[in-house]
Amino acid sequence: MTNTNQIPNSNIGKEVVSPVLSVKDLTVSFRTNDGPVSAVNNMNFEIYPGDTVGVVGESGSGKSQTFLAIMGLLAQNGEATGSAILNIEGKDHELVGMDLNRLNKLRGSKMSMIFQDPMTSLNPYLKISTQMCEVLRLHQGMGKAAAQQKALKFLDLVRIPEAKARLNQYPHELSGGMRQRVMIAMSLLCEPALLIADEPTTALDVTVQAQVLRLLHDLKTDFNTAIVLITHDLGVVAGVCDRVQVMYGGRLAEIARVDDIFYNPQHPYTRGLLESTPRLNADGSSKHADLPTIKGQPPNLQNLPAGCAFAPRCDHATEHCQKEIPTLRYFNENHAKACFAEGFSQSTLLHGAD
Amino acid sequence: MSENKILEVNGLKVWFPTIVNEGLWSKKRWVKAVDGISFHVNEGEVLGVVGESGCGKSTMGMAVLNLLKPTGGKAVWMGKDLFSIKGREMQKARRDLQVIFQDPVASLDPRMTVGQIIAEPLTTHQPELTKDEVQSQVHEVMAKVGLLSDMINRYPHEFSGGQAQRIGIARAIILKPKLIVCDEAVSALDVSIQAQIINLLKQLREEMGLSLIFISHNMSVVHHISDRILVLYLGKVMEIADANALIANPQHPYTKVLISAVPIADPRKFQSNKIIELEGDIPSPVNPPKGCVFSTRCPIVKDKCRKEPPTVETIASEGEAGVRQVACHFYQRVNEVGQ
Repeated sequence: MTNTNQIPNSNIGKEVVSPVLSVKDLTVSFRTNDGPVSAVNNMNFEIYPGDTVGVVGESGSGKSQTFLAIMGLLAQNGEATGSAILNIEGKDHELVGMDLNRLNKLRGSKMSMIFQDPMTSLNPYLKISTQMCEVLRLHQGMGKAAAQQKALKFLDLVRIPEAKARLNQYPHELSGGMRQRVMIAMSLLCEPALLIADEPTTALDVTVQAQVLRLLHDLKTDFNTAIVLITHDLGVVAGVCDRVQVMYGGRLAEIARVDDIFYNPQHPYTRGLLESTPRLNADGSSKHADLPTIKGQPPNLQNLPAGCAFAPRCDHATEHCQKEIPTLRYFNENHAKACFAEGFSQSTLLHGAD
Repeated sequence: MSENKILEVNGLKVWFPTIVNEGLWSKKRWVKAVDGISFHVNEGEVLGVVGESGCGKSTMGMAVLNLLKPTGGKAVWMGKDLFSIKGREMQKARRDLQVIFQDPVASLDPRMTVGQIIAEPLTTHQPELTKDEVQSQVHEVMAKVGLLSDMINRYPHEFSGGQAQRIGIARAIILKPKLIVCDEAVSALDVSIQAQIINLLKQLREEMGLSLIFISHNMSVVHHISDRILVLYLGKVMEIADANALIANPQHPYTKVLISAVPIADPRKFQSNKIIELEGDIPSPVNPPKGCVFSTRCPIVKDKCRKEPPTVETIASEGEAGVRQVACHFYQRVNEVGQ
């Protein structure tokens, strides 16, 4: 991969800081009865402190598996190779292949993850306070009273009404939005350097989603936590992310700042994704036209094309694309794509607020 | 478009019994999933139904399909009382009323081939057809929904979500129905595939003169495909209006809040769009608020709203397509929402 080490921090003008997470040549494959399936191939990227990075892609694009591998949470038949280095206070921790004891010291304290379904990620047998205090007592050796105090403070922080009463409740007594807030509070208790949120609002209603997105937006200013937001919803990305990584067929297709992804997308897949998203145009101008679509179906990971995984669905594909896999190249300091095609002109789709 | 009502629903109620523990004794209570809603569907029209989870939109769809026994209310389907017809007439109604479900793979029998799945409605309702006639009709609908004819002997698990949904659509249209209830029909699909299926539904509706009841939680998708939109909250109608008019000029505070909460896939517009945040969560349908069901979360709630439930009123808006109905005492003050 070319010069991935030179990705600058998206917070231009700030001092150059070292990344909290650097991923190099990360590959994830699964052993199955039908032979090995490679879900993630040669991922290279870096995440900086305080950045919110959106990871977008279709189901099966490898967006969740990449980060499950980083958290050491792959399924039994999965294997990760390559390198993922978590940098905490100048100290590097190689996460790929790390033994469970050391991993458990990092997980929940230096890096944490929240999942789509807030019901199944909480233990139904334990009170909220027991689950929250466990994190603090294990990682920070806090006493019971101090841990309760801090748990209460964090429930207030994620704007849970009557936080004190909630501490003594069980998960089933809370609504979906409330449970997701508890998960967010719990994941932030030890003030981790990296928070991975896998579709955190997908199971929530729009009005509750708006509350949770606002919360994530505010939290990134309160803490200096780097947030990875895995989602299929471009609207969610537009609202809270600084940078976006678009994935397709287990590879990175495009990396750019959020404005560039929306107003100057350079990978044909990104462009197709933006065009095929229905929009709420109050004037109904585009209503009676057909939605632009990406032809065909997503690739089968067991049987990926020899060249670019997107080539069979791409209007710009040439013979070259069918033979060779394009590597991720930076064509300016903030924008990279894995595509042989020449640059596209500014998107005609969106013009920003005009 | 012809204003020919093929379905007219009046005061539909679907209540489910439940046991609630109160102190020492448990009491029988009702979950009022759908509580007195009225609407109609015109011939060839797409009626979008939006609302949050638990608002009763799926229950409403099931009741219209006669798959759930309603607690109260009337539905007139092509001039007949849908909830009392029996036997042969019911069979005829079943042919004209079809459904497409959310999970495309789970709604197909894993032990049947694509050909068998699509042919099943035909062999059930028209047993007099010969094998060849059935086959040719199956091939015809497969072509119509964009499935290749060599897929006919494959099983559902061999298909991706988008293709499986095409099979579900083929099964729904083979009897040439008049109305299809699409219950979150595109919600489980990826964006690029979702667009393909939306276009397919639009195209089929034009070709076959279908009416659709399009149920979804996704406001952008509903707006794109619908002629009119019905907004539900806690089993009650909040607002019904022409799709464009509803988005451009919502008259019910809840509609306004719902529209503002839709995340816009455009960073600069997202920043300038003011999201109106609601306090709290949807109340329990076992114990809905007295008065207006939205009163516990409404940003412009007044005393009257907490005491007296509003009726669904037809209001006139100048220069607007269609009729608009709103259930709010203070819809004239909707501008104050989010101020």
